[in-house]
Amino acid sequence: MVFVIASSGGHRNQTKSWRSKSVVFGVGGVAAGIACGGVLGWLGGWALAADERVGLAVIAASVAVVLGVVELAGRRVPLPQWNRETPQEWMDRGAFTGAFLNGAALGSGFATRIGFWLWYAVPVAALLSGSVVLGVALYGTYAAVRVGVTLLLLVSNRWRTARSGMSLGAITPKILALRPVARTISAWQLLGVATTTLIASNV
Amino acid sequence: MRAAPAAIMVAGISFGLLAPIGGVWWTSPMMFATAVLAAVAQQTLP
Repeated sequence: MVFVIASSGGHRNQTKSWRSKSVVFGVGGVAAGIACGGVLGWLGGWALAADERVGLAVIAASVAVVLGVVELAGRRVPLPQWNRETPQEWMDRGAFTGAFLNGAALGSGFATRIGFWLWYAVPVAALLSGSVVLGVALYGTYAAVRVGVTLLLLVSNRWRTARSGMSLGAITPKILALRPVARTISAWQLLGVATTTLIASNV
Repeated sequence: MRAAPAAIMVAGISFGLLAPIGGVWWTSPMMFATAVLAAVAQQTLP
């Protein structure tokens, strides 16, 4: 995802500065998170009564407990997702359009590979909050952190490249290698948030 | 690495139970921590 902002060779976005593309990328990501959270929160409040939302939260938490335990046991449970990376063709749509779409894809979360069951807690919680404000706060937090970390990686890469000549291509494998650790922490967090939900709903 | 996730979970449960936001427990800090962790974890995806 950093490549869309950082790279430029052969694409129409080469005339735009990385800073301006970063801003558009960030705006796209946060806007997508706000939109998703707002729609889900509104939908939950409109379509579901409070007791129905609690009931669904208990069901979702029960499923999450099982998933968390299975994942911690070292077994991968396939998750429903759009299994693709950010389309590189987006870079051909223009610098700002590509950056905005890329940010929106990451901020929404579901437009590209999801990878972790923990992600589903975000839209489910936004929906079951039944509140536009809380939905926006939750999903917006997710989106802001995701695009924020991406931009931090970009800035870090530029700093490292200037300092030691290490390119993004050299850094990326190190980040990808952290996936098993991220999977363990995510499974624990999934178990934790699901347990919290069950306890708080007096089940 | 086993102690660290366990500590995170315990801290999250405690915090989450103690401080629900807006009176709605599933938007507690625990849930916001979930959103943060999910976002960070996804950075390890190709």
